[in-house]
Amino acid sequence: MKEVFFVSIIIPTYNNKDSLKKTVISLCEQSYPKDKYEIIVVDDGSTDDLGKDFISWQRVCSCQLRYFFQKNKGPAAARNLGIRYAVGDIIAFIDSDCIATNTWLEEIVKGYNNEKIAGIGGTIKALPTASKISQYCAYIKMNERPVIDKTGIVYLITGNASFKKDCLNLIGGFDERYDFPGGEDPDICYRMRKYGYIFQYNKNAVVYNKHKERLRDLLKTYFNYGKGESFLALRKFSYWELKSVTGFKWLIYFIKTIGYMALAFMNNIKLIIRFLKIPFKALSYYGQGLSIRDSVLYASLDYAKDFSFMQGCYFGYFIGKFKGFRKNDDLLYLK
Amino acid sequence: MERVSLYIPCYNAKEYINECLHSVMVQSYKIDEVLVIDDGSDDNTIEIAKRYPVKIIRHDKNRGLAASRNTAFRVTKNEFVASLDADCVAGHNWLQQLMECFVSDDIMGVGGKLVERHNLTVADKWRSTHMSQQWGNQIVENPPFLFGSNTVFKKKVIEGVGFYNEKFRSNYEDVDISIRIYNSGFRLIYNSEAEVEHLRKDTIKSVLSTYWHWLHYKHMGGNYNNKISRRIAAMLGNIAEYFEISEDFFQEDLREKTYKLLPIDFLFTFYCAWLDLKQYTRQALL
Repeated sequence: MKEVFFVSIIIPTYNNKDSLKKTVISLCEQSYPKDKYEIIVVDDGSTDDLGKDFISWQRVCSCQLRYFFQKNKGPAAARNLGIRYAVGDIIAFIDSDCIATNTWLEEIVKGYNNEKIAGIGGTIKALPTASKISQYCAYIKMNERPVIDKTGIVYLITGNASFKKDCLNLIGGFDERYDFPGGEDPDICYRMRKYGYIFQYNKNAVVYNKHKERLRDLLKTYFNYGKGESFLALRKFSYWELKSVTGFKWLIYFIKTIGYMALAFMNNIKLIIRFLKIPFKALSYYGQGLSIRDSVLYASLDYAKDFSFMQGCYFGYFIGKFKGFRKNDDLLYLK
Repeated sequence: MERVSLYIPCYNAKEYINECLHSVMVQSYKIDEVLVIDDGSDDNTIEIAKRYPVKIIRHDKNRGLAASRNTAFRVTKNEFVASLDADCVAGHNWLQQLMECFVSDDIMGVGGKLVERHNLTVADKWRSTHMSQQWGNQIVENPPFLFGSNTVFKKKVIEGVGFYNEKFRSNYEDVDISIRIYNSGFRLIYNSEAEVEHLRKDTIKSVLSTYWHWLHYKHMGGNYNNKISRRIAAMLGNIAEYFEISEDFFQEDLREKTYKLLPIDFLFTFYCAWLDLKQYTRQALL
């Protein structure tokens, strides 16, 4: 007989009460056996009195529902808190703006048949809305599936993924210096892959996500992704160690630094080329069958998101330095 | 030992087929049956193949690579079906290495490494750097897809996902089938120890048009929106995409210091745009 895992579902949330309620309801109606999973909601310092409402939810809810509170420290820290108190062998992550389909939990824990598999990711589909911005996100299939390159699955999207608890504990959980939403999932998967673990993708584990509805939010998301990218890059590659540099060498390093800053600025030239490409992109969208207005809008949004992503990378480089990201530092921060 | 069938899809491959079949005959792993699927060749490929102890199956007209593969999977009775392209020469241990990878039940396919024999001319060098059909020198579990040139698949999975899509005539059918296998929840493995040599020789024109064909099938599956304004817009829009791809080629060449490939990278955008135009006029006339 196949083993049925005990699963802990962790939901970090911040000021998102209405859609959290929908998420929890969808999780209570899973096809998975009711006594085999628990739902852990970690309140990341919400200011909308979530705790008071929660007592009434717990009374109605048919499965184990638990609540933790922390000061506002970001989703990475919230997830770590959840992991600390989780009972299950498998930990599933879902975001508070997602709605799970009935069989989601059953599918997302299916396939741990190999010791090397650390996590399984699923599909994130878009909920239809009236806003053009979220229609655009749905059209480009933003975050729909795990990112893949020629060495296999690079990272899973934590909005819809499950991990083994042992693997999470082995690498010390999420890095809490990621105090913004975005970028913590490539980081944790990068560290798992360093230990030789691999990931799986299950198409049938579907959650529906409400994408960002305002331009401001979309750009902020991409800015954060850029920041996360820079943090990870600082961790992967290191150019110089300024601490040990004295005397004449210092001058060489100074010139090198100026050079690298110039190179970083050169990225803006790339942005100019991207800007010139907007009309071509628009034509391409039009060729795919969109209306003229939509194709121009989508092409400009393409540019806008690239722009804010690159600015995020630029700022993230300095912020990451300030926070002390450096090469192979993941071993130092084990709890 | 598992019983393995091996098929060789071929179309006008008289220069290569002899060496290919020779390498198949001297494999260290015992092969149960060898099928040569002739896709309506009009040269003497078949006469050469007849000299070897192989089963020959002929299509009456040219139906494309995907159709040849499907024929092979329909004809064979063994569970494990290996495939080797007609312009490839397998190493002595090739099949042995591939078969050793089937360690668990959910592994449905294994692919090997393809290395180029000729990379002295500019075109061949370009093919081996920018169109290399391999995933490096390690074992990769769940690579994005398995290249079709040399693989072993289980028959039941190909039947289960509904055979190769014959709409992709000779490009992209391998990517398509890999994606479908992943979607049904199975695993694929790439093993670099299993090595195969590619005998193909290219001119600049042929190498660029091969790449264009690949992109063409990848993006549209061969289907475009037929309204004239949409079609022209798509053509112009593609230029930006070709430009983006050639930018990557430029960066890679500058990094690897293979400067003699830069002119081809430059030509890429224009030639692809020209092929787009040609394709469109051909469709418009028909």
